[in-house]
Amino acid sequence: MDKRSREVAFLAGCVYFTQGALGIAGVTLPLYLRSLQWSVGEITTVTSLAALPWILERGAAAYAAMGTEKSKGTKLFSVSGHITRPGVYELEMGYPFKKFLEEDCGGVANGRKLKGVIPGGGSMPVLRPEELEKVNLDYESVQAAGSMLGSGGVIVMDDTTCMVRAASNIARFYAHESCGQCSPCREGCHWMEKIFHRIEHGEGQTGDLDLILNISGNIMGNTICPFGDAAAMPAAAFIRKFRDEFEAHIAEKRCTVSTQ
Amino acid sequence: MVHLQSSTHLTMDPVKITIDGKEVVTAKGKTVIQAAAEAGVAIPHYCYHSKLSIAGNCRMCLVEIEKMPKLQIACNTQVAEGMGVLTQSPKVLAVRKAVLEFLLINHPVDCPICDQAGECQLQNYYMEHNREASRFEVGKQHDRKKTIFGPNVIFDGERCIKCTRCVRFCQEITKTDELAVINRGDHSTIALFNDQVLDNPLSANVVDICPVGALTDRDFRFKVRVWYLQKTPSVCPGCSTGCNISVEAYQNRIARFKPRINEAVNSHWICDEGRYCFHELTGGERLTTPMIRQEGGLVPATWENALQAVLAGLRSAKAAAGILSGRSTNEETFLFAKLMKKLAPSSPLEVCYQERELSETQKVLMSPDRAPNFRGARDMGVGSNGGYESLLQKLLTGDFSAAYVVGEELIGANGAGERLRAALQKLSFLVVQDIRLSETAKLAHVVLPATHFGEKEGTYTNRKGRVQKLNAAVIAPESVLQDWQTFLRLLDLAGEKLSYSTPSQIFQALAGEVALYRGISYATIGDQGIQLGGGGVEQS
Repeated sequence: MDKRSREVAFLAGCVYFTQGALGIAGVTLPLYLRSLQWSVGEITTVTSLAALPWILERGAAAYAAMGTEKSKGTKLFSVSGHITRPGVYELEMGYPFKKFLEEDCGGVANGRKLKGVIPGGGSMPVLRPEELEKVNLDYESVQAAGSMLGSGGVIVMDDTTCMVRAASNIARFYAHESCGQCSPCREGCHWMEKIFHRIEHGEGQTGDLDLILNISGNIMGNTICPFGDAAAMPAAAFIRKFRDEFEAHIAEKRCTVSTQ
Repeated sequence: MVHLQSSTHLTMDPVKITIDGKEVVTAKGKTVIQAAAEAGVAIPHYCYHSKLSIAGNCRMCLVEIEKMPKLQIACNTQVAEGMGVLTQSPKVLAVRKAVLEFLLINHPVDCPICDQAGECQLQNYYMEHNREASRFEVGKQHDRKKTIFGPNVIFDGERCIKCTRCVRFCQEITKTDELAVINRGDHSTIALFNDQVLDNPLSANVVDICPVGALTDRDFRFKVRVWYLQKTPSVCPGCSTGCNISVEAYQNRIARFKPRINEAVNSHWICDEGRYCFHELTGGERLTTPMIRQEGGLVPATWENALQAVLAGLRSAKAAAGILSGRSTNEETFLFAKLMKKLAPSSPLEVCYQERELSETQKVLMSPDRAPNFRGARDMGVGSNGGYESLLQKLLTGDFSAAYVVGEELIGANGAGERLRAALQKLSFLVVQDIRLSETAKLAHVVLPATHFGEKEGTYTNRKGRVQKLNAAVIAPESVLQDWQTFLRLLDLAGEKLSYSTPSQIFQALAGEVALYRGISYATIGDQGIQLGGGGVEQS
């Protein structure tokens, strides 16, 4: 393994499969690719590339005829978590979110109640069930609800889910995957992870929640690449949407979610 | 309206921007941090260095640019016509605090034992931009401490802020690639790549550019707190490149050299050999009194007696030679030439000059000699091309009966050491002027104490013809005269009384007599020197 390159495992995955390059986030990435004389137009993920054959066969107009005014065509959604029928679904943009979950995916598994759903991969702010009423699966609608469509990775969580643990899990992922180049992400992600961990294991303190929100705000927009934002958003969103649960967890030094 | 200091840039595409409401004229291609620096606005930064590529990873230089939604790093944002930059807005002040906090959370509180204290950019910026108590109550990240990277550099992983200046230095300046970043996230650390050692000829420059105490100088380790150092601008006496340095002393002893910026000579760097040369050039037991040879050996004597003996010995010599150290200043050399002309005219005068092979990395900065002022000496009438070697030959073949050797150890200085010893012993009169009782001095009939470069005020002319000023950083022992004072006294006793009482006056005199130096004075030389034959324009 070339020690000299930063091991951007997560980020590299997106770039690697499309271009076969080692992911080096930041100012050098376009220059690096240019130095290899690859055209730096779009660094696309596999899902975008998958739409190409259809478009080339039937034409761009036909593709654009689907979807909404601002979100054209279709998108692949990978649904996972506490859902009856997990899997990869291709939907026309603008499809109602609630209908998608309850009908097409068969609703929450084991007859349980929906507690929260992440619309587009672990970095996107979680949505509470009541927020889903007006949300359609397109960019503008989800953004209006305060989250983002992102990769379309829909993660469903039922009422047995401890949101503290969920947030802690996501924070640990981002801390582990941070490339470490820029100070806010390198130091901030691990700091948040450690605070979440402390809360989860019964050593949380009052002030921890506002501290995480503050750290998250200090990372957002100040990093070399969007990874920092991706780590900061879920941390803040979980606390904002499920504050009561976090506070109870801190006060009682244990998880207060019933697992019945 | 503020214009750039260097007028040449205004002839390139001018660009008008505002910085904190003040209009600034800069040039196309400049970055915001450069334009701000030239306009006198300091933007805090760690990873940016004017001589290294842009890394953009510290995020300390984030500034607000009007009409851009997010803050931008000043080091990598090019100026554009009409751009409005804010460096003191509430958003910017808040983000500086935040970045500092991030850098401090895993930073060990080593200040009491860290050499960088007093010249640490974390300390400085913290006092300027943060000053908050720590909010970090979870465990700090640990890393290797006091790890030897090379003969001159020691590394502390916990103090490192991963700005990567050191990595880029080894990649771009010395092109030796010893350092790399390994591991990911907050386990990132600097390491030696491929089991190398950080031993390139410019290795200790990474200590200068490290903003914190992660890379420190092994030679200077724990010697003295930097706020006790007395700093004097001067010129390195290592070789004829003439790198600009700051001689930093404590209790009248030189503690370290630091480079001074001079774009025309050494940029921001000095080589390791030059950096540590003061040990050899000032060390050992100091000669504090003149000595005269009598029955049984050298005995202490008064200046009066010693100088009379020198006069007598040189005047009566059939064939004399003068050998000056390459570290003698222009002022000293000027007087030495006058003196020898008076006492023993037609004696050859040479500067000790020997060349060696340099590696490609050494050539980045170093000259192949160890005579910082050979060129200045030549201008003063001492030395000619290849002259030193032929003078040595003549010495070995017994062509001379007397010699005056100043500031140079001839025996052991080159391969012909022992043969030179024999040749010197055969001289009927040998006077040696040096800081210590060297092997050469032990053979002398008269020994005169001298000063070393750190005690001298004067000028050196470097290999490329740049006249630069040395300033005295330490004071010589009370009974020791400056070399120029010794020569003046001898001239006086020989019947030529010159009324110079400072090196400045001597320089004024030599500027009048040596055509090349006409019109130059200590004032025009300043801290950056002046190029001979090039008027007063700084070369970039």
